Amino acid sequence: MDSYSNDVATLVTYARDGDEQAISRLITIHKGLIYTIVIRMVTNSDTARDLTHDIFIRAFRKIRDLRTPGLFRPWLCAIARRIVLDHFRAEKRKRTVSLEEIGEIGVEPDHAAVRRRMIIQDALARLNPRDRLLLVLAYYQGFTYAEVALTMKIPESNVRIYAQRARDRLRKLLKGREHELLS
Amino acid sequence: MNSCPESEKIQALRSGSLSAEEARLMQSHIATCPACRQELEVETAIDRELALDIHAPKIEDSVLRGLKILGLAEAEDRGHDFYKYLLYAVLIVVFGFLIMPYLLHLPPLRIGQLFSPDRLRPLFSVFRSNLPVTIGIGFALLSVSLLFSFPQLRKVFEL
Repeated sequence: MDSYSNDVATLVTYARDGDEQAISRLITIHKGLIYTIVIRMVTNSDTARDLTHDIFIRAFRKIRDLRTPGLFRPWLCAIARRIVLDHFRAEKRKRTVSLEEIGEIGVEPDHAAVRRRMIIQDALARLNPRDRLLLVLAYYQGFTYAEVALTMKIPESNVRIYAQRARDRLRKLLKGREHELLS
Repeated sequence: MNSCPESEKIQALRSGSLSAEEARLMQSHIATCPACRQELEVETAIDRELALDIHAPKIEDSVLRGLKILGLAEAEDRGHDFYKYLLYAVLIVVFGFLIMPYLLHLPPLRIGQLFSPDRLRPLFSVFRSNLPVTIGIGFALLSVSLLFSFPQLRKVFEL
């Protein structure tokens, strides 16, 4: 087990007993990942914030169900997946992506970056939720295929090929917008 | 994805699945082919965007407040599970053994008759004469009970 897993496992052990500092630290470590997953799925930053909040509440209320503290990250992502899919079922409406919304999720202030983000986010939004989540997880820094497999509940040996197929579908959706992406 | 047939290899180049020689040839091709160069730039732009770690708002305090209101552990509610499963068991017995036979006009079930020694004796003799099969069944039951003790599987059945 690497140092990340060891640290998180220790924090999870404290969090189970209600240690607020451990809970707060676990949120700080993982909120970037969870928020990234959620905003890639729902786009709207207010909804993403509310869902991220709900995901952590659900996770810490169920933390005693987590048998292996070292697997906190994929377990948390699986909760995120369930809550986002529940949200989609509840909403059941076609999502539209506005430039304003995309601008909110970025970190680079320049207009070209916002435009690039909008194009890719728009293509992501047209993928099915499973492909979208798979791409977000597979390309997230430091997320292993084993963790993707645990989160998505698919065999680890299939993660690479599923991610590649999802990536190909995303590329197809971006066909004809190459010049906009590179401008 | 573009007019150049070599562009098919760009994905393989990026994922590192080309041999050293193939990768070298592909790189020299990209240097001279504008279509493939553009394709590589597009793929790189997509990768960069997908790998972006989006800055999350501060939610630590609001989550802690929420947990204080709701209570930390849902697990404490698990005490009710016993009564839930007891209710299911009672419902199964009432519907399966009393109401359904009545609706289907079946003769009333006599539990004592079902487990009478005359009925059980042939069953025991079968087990005695087929010891390996009996041991096999015992192991199968043990395996099933072990499987059920895995949390993931148990969770599936509890849901």
